[in-house]
Amino acid sequence: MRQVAAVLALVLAAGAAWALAPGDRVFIRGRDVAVLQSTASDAATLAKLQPGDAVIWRGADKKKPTWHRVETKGKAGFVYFANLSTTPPASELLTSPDGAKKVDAQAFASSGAAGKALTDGAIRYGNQDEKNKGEVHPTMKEAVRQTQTVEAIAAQRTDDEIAAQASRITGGQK
Amino acid sequence: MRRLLLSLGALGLVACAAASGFMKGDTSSIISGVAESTTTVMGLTQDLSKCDQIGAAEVTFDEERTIGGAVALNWVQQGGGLLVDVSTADAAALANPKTLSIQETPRNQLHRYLNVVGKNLASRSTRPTLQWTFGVLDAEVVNAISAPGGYVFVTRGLLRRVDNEAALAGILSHEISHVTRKDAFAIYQKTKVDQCKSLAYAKAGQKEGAAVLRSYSPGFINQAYAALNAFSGGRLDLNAAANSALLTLFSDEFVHRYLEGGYARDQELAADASALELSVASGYSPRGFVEFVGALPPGGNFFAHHPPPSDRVAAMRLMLGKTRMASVGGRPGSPFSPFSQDLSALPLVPLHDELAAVR
Repeated sequence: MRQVAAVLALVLAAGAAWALAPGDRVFIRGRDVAVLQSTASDAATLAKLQPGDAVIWRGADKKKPTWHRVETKGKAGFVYFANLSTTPPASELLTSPDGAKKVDAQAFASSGAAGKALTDGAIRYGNQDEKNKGEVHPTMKEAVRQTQTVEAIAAQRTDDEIAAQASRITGGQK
Repeated sequence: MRRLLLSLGALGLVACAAASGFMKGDTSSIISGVAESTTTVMGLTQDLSKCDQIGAAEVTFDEERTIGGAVALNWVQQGGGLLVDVSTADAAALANPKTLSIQETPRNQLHRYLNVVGKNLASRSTRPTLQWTFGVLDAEVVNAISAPGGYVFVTRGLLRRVDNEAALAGILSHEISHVTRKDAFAIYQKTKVDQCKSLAYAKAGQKEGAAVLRSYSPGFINQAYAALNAFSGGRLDLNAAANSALLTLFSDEFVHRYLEGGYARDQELAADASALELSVASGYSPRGFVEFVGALPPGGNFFAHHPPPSDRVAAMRLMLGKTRMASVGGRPGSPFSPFSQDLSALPLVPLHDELAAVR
């Protein structure tokens, strides 16, 4: 139980003592997050933002405090509070001719590395003869093909499908 | 599933190894085929130093994805395969997941649904731009497992036990958290150095290399050593064909160690806490995941190596209570904490019909 308490202490400490002021930069959580013109349920969508996009925070709406005023790309609007974060997504370490370099989530997304399916190395690992002897089913070769098929199903999910799923959970409230 | 994987894995690996000639048994009889009489103490020292260099380098995304892919293939094989109707396309088409033609079958629709649920959650994680892949293993045991780089698997048995999407979201978020927190790296980095050094000792005919000698053929060891010998500092590219034997050496041992010990208890509890944060931030009631974990029988095949369900539930309830109290009490917290809202108003969300394929 001491370990439980230690983990909890870490979790709670991580969420404590924020000093956020209007004008500070915060970050988008979630795919196709809508910036709405107002907090009304039928408000127009001014922009759709992607994970890690930075916006200027102006504070919570006084009447509907779960909606926060933000500015982005010259537009001012409202974003649901749970779609915002005080921290940007983690950076990724990419191999480069000089060794390796850290890039932010957006640079990573556009680098091509983010879209990688099973690498050539992993495919060679699964297809090597020594891994495919005996009576084990599925064979490693079959596991490679199955994994590549599921990777394709995953890769073909669109931003619209993800956004529709987010809306299905919340009943379109955000 | 780890216990299932362990039992299946042990059976599978032994069967595979026996058939393939990987397991040689008598190390003394094969040392002569591997060890070089010319290997000097200085040569061994240099090799061991290279192993330390390889282990000291921070794991890049490319390395993570390669080792993660190899590990994922082990989970797929040992978990009974994926519940998917595979593409019959050629290798070139399979290498382009965005354009690969996929049959519209109930099993593939199940995977489409799982990936929509999972990718929505992952888009709110700290690594939203990974190529996340969510798969259903054709195993009756109740479990979930992940691999570095963005692979998450749940079993058919788990899906049969889940009765709302909030529970499924919590389970997927727990595994997403292991990937975003890079929990596997501690095991992997140590595995890499240990295996590299075992290889060097094996080549030098030293007893510390006995495990490698017992597990792999002389030809394989020579191939792996050639890769180590060619390493001249910097980063080891495990995706390169020349280093494929090293990838096998590291991946196989990682899988073995993970199945033996799993993650540390505090890593599992932290993943539960992150799972609640991620699923609540996505709009799900935390009740779904907490009740799912609470209903797991202790021991048996249910999430072997995890802390007992009662400990996990107690930790999650304590966290939910404390975060709620902090919010109600007006203590300073993140204005975006998903726990600051009325959690009782959040829905469990019904499962989609696609899950009927496994029920």
